[in-house]
Amino acid sequence: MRERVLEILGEALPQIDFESSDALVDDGILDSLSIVTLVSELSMEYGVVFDMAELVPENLNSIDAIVETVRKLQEA
Amino acid sequence: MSFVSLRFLIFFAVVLAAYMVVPDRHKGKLLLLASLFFYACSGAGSLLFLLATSLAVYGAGIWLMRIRERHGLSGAGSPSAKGGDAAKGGIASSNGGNAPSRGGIAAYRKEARVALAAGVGFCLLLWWHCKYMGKILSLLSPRAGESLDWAFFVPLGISYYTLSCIGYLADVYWRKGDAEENYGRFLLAMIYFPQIVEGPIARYGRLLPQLSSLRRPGLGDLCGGLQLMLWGYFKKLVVADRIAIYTGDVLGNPLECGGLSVLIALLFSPFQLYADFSGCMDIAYGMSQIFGIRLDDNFLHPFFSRSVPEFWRRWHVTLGAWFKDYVYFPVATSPRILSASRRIKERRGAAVQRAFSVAAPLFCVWVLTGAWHGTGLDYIVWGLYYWALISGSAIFAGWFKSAAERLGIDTGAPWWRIVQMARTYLVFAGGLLLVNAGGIGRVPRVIMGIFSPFAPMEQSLFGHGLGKAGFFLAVLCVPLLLIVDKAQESGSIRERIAALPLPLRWAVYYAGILAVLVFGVYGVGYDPASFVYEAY
Repeated sequence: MRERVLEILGEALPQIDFESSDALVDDGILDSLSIVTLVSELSMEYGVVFDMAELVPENLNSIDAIVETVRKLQEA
Repeated sequence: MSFVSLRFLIFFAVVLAAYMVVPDRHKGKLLLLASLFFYACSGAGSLLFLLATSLAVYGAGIWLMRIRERHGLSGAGSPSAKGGDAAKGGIASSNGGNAPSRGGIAAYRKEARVALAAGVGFCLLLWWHCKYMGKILSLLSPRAGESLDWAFFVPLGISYYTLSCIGYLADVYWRKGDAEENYGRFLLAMIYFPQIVEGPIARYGRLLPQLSSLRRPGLGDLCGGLQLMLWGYFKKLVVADRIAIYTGDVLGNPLECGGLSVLIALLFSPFQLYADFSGCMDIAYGMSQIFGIRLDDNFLHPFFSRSVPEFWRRWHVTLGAWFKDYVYFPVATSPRILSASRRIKERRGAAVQRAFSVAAPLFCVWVLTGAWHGTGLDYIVWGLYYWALISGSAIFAGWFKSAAERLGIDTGAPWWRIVQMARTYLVFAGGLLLVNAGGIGRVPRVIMGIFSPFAPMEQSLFGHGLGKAGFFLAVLCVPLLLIVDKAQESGSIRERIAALPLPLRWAVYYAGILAVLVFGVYGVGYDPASFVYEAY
């Protein structure tokens, strides 16, 4: 799943290197437009719905956190 | 009570003296009493509206917490108290929260939505009544509008505290923060007098913990706060109110003033607004520093922005952050928008889908931002102006990058940065024109004014209320503000001044005080111009 998520996000947000940081949101690498694009692409791919409570830096700061969040949303 | 009035200075001196002697555990009560008094000076009706809103929102918050507890979702804690959150990419952090099941969440949401709707609905109803009902009634029936105009007034700070209250309830609903159980503390967060006038738009989750730990200020905070207030008064009284004389005179009669005057007034307007608004903010920050409270930043040197999106991350930061967290993200990630995106992608391809995903939620943000600023069509047009620019810059980012490469533009070069900053400034000035012309129908008149024959140079520059000395002082203040802003980007100026030798340090302080006293726009029969953003 990690590779597929990287592929999707790499195509949608080519300007961002998702493996370059563990603080993508905290360091401002992911801005609000990028976050919305990320949510939109992953929702379409995996059919998951991001609750506003899940849109927190802890869930989006690294590619591993993003993958984990998607996995939890699929299981719920 | 305006921050620039003598009455306020006396009020603040009394509050400060009391704050220094009252025990720490009672400082909150003192600030609450002072804030209630300050607010009551704006009128009993305003106070009634605010108290009604505070009770409704406090009650809705507690109601939401009880629902969360019943569903085992009470453990979110307070949102992060990081000072820069409002300016960053920017979603509030959560201190751990449970991992509930989807079914549990759905049941919680079904019940909690009622409480949320009640609290938010009450806030919006009052806001709508104050801002729009009088105007609507006057349009439908001018006579009724006249006889009932006592019922329609705009309570001080209603636009600010309404947003803060809605954000507070949303955070409790989304489990990003807990409700405040102490009504007095909640009321203080709402009515805290340094911020009720013009913001910054408070996130109660960050403010409330600070109100629980008030303490006597050290010498550093006391002096630093007073210095910041002095700088705020300089910006307001020496810069903003001086430039306002010129711009007010010219933009009131653009066709009679000559093209050069209109052009100068339009170019001056952004600085006038910046000095006015950021001046008030500095006064609020200075007071808060003395009380040991850190308010969120509202300005991050906006005139160094290289694009319109960047500008709105640096100008009125707390407003942009609020709309991002409570309108943009919820709309952009809503099931309705996501399923529309999916359908568009299937029918029109990925490029169109991405444009829709960007433009649709931004449309909501900017129409509402315009409506927040004002009730006229000019503010909606203003909102759409920025919607088009910001959406366009995101959607066509790739094209702009390719165009720059094809033209051989080195986008990292200093000259290009200056071009970008100038361009952004002119775009902002253009936006201000839409709302400063006195109605959208007058905008063409003002634009025509630029092309009207220039009056003689003396008349154009010195003939609009400032005189020669006043005009040159206004012009000199513009680079002064920019130099200070630039210097602030690399560290605290107050700390650098404090590190100077004693005589030099005090020379700077005295120069500041004298500048405000001598060059402040007081005039004959001085009636301080209200802070511009006080009107919201």
